[in-house]
Amino acid sequence: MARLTSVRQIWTFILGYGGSLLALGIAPAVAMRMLHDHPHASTAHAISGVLVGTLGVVPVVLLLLWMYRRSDEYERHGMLLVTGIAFALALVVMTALDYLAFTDLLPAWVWLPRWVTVTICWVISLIAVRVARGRHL
Amino acid sequence: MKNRLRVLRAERAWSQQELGDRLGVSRQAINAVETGKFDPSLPLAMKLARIFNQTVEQIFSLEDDA
Repeated sequence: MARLTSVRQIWTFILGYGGSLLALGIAPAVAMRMLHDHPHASTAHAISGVLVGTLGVVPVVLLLLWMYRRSDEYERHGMLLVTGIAFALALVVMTALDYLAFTDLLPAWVWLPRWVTVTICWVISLIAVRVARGRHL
Repeated sequence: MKNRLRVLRAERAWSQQELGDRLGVSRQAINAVETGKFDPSLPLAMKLARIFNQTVEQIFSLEDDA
């Protein structure tokens, strides 16, 4: 039985995660361009912009659903931990960056694309779960 | 929680992968249970008991039990 940690599933995950990051990186920029470049755009055009931006998160949601369906209870336990920690970290970091940018306290060199922030948070959470498991928590 | 999984598996000369395949879980899951890093769910513990023809209590016990 091919579980989540089999080689084929790992490649599917890598491709899925790559696609998700691409969508997360491109969709908001495209949506903002659609909405920003046409401040008096029609309602249909505005709705299209909102849809493009929102649909950018669909691949990562589909990836998580796929991981949940493929995983056994041990993998699911780890996956939920990693996802939970990554989500919490990403939320804190992105909120802080947004507020800092809004108050002009954020130097330009600190700014990171969101997909980089999300990936860094995933890596940190993977390490955190690894360390926690090493201590039998 | 401690368990006799490694001993029972060795008696049957099954690899972790083989036992995982029989139970429908990953090799990593079997390894994590054997090393005490992960406590299996009740359904998985019962499947293990059935596959080894033992009771759950014969395979798993609390650390502070004698």
